[in-house]
Amino acid sequence: MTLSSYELTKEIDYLFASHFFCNKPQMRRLLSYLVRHCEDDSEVAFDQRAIAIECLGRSDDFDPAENPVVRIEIGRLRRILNRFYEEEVSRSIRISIPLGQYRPVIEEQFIDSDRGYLPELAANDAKPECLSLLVQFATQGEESAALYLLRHQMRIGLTIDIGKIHGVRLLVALPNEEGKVGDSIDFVMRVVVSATGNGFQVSSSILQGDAEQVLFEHSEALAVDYDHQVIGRLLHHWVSDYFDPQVGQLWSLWLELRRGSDSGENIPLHAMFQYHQFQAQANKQNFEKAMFTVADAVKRHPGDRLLGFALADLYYREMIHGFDVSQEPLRDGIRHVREALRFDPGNASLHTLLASMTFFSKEYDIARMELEAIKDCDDTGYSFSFQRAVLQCLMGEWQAGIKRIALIVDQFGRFPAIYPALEYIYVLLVNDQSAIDRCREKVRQHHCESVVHQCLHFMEFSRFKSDIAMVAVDKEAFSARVRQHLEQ
Amino acid sequence: MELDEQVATTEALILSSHLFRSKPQMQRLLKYLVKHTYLNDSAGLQQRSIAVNCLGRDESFDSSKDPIVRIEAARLRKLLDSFYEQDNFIPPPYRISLPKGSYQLSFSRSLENKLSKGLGLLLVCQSPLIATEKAMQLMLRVRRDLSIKLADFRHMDLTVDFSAEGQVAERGAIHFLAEEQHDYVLRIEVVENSRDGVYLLSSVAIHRVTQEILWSQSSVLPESYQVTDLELFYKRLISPLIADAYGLLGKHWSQSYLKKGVEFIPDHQAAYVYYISICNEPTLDGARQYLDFLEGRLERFPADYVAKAGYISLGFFDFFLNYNLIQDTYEIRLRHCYELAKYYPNDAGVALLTGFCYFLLDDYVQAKRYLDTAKKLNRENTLWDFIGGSVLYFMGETEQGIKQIRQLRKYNPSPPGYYFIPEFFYYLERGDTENAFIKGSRVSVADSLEHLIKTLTYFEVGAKSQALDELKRLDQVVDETGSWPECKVLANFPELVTKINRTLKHLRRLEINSGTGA
Repeated sequence: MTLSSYELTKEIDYLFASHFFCNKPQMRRLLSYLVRHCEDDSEVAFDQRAIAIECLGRSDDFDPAENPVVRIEIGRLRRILNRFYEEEVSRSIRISIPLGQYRPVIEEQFIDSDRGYLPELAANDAKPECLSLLVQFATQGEESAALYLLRHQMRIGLTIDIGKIHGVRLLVALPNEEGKVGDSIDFVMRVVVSATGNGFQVSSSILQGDAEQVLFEHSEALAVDYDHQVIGRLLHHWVSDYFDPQVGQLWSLWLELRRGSDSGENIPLHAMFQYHQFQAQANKQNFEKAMFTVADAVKRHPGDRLLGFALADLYYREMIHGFDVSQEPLRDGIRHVREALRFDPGNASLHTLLASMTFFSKEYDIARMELEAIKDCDDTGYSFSFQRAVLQCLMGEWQAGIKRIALIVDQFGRFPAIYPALEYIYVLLVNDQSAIDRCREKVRQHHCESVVHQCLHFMEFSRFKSDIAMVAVDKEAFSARVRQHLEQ
Repeated sequence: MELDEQVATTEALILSSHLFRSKPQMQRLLKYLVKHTYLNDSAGLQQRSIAVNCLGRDESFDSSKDPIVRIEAARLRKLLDSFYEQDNFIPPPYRISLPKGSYQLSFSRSLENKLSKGLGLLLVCQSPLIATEKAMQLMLRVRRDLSIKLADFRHMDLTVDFSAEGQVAERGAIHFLAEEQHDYVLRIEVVENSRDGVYLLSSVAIHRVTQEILWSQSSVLPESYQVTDLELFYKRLISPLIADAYGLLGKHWSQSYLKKGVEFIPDHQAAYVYYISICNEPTLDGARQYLDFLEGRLERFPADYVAKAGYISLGFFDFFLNYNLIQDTYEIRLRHCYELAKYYPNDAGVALLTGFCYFLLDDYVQAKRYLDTAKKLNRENTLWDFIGGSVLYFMGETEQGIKQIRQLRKYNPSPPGYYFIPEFFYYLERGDTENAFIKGSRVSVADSLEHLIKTLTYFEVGAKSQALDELKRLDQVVDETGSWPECKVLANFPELVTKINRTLKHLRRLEINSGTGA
């Protein structure tokens, strides 16, 4: 037999997952015992007594002449295996137990395609308000310790990073009672690692459900002695690029997927749909819809983390964009963010939102203390980094904040509407004549004049130490100058 | 004698089966052995006692001459085995068997039994097929350590997967090992990174039914790791996932049942659902429901450990959150603890609750002694560390109590909101506004006490309107319980109580003024 034990283990796992085996621990024990010994030269392991004692829990005084349990159980296993391979014709390995012997036969079978990459799907519509993602990992070519390690680092890193994103439900290919994987899967993320002549190649591709068409792809070469931080950065990038609530590419597709099912009956789904609709296109009309539905959903589902976060984010966006929708967005917003934090106390994004909101309401000490509480959190996601940098700017650290924002905007090539506004204020602050007009154009082009006004309103001149030599020291005078320039 | 519900059910099912129906002698023997095993009465399980009291032999019975007990026991042993090996068999809650060489029955949960007593967890530890000997050893060690540590948690039904083929993690394949009784799968993987000379220890927790990954974490362990490194890894895994207010898993589990309806699950499981949800998010309503449930349960099964322990633990929240629901005197509660201790002499939780009862009785010397014992017995349950620390704090042993509580954040960066309460009072008393604010604003899900603390927090930093907001919420919920400043919780801190009263009075004046102003 030339099969690698790795392939064989995978096959056994697949068998055990099927409905033939999943409720039969005794059958599983028996099969794994037999397969484990099937390369033995001697017949010792296949003696009835050995099987009865080692596998079926009989005591030392077991007598096969008196007790037919081994023959019965092997007969059962033989039938189950035969039925399994009658149903599953596309397996690359076939395990069988010929009549009259206990030693299994393992054969390789030729199959023509990749069929069966995704186990068969069963209906299950759990949590439609989330984006459900199945992550799969594979190695191309020869398996080695180095590749295993790399794949492991990617797998754990990805699950941790995606776990921090709100609204993404991460699934494993865990079968239900019938041995089938739930089909509440919207997208499949397939990560493939392989060894190259001078290092490794890692790639991720996104597929929709069980379709084979690749929607997005990323690929990256790694040196043999790659630093694990390189992987960390790579994964942050992938995760933000695909799943970030503001710039993630999958959300618009998710909206497409949910459009038909959005009957308004499922309140959380309806709310999250409107929320992402607003994220995709941040205008006032979408904001009103999102605000209304999300606030209503939060009322009906108090304590729901996903909805709670969406509403907190909406209040923040209302302030930044200056949408005039809620009666008292600042007061209600702060109240709500605090409420959301009760149920999700460790959420760094919520703390950032609270810090920003309290800053807006000029409770500067509280804002500072909130920031203090999260200073050790690593800011990984796009939105989260962005928000923190915005607050950094408004608190006076313009140079550091703008630099940080420019870096991530550059990395992803996409930016939210607030970016041109900040950039514009910054060049005016440092009086960079060469860029002023270009930046103003950008503000007009992205219709973010109102954001400029909001930022001017919130920014603080005197209370915090600034990291730039500002041309203006008086906020009123500076604001007037900006407005004047903007209107020219 | 009152048997545990499930033992009684099991016994009844066996006795009524066709295998036992026409065998009165076997029936008698089984009943006798169940009873004396249950009572842990080793004298009653001697050959002589069995012969005389159950098999109708007289006082002159001599076991060396008369093999009746051995013969009948062997018959019963076989009969019991065949009972559990029937075709199309619905397994009772327990598997009862008679191990050789003893007349003490063994009760175990049969493999096929799908009814877990609490939350079902499957622990799978693995390392790659190509792993080195040393990595494999580390993996086996982690598996052994965790099997022992996790078994300390009585609310979990732990299964550890020891099968050799579970060594490869691929495409989630390993979760195929999970069965119906496993609500969650905890997978630990040990992978060697020989280039950097470290091991990667990762943990992933999966909810079996929805297939969701609920938790994922990774730690690095140097190749020349110390025991303390490993211990830290365990603590950082167990505290947030399983121990602190019964952790992420407990929360997920109890909430899913509360949503579905507790009336649909068996009582012994419901006891844990209520208990965990009280620890998770204490509310007056929840406490009331739980108390009702417990009283009914204890009436029927006075020896139910879970119910009794739950009753005493509820006492802690009853006191801490000022519910004052429990009518029993402190002496009666202490007696309950002693009864529990009879069955579970080495249980940290029982020692802790005993210490707590002594604290209620104002016997601080005994209280400290028991809290100390609890600390020594308790290896993993950080919720108990918290309760112990708070009792110490409320007792007036402030530094020691706070130190014990603060320690817990090393293992879980975001513990339940009520863990911050003692620290808040600690800083408030010292007039350390900034720290009081930081702790106070992290207090959550602690019912009316939460609103009291938030009121004080915002007042301290001058956020008056928010303080008034919280005061309103406090008044809404506090009507039903006692008033805060007069309660027993802060009895040892008269200055703090004065300060709190002053603040509240001040705010109430503001409230009235703003009311008339509008």
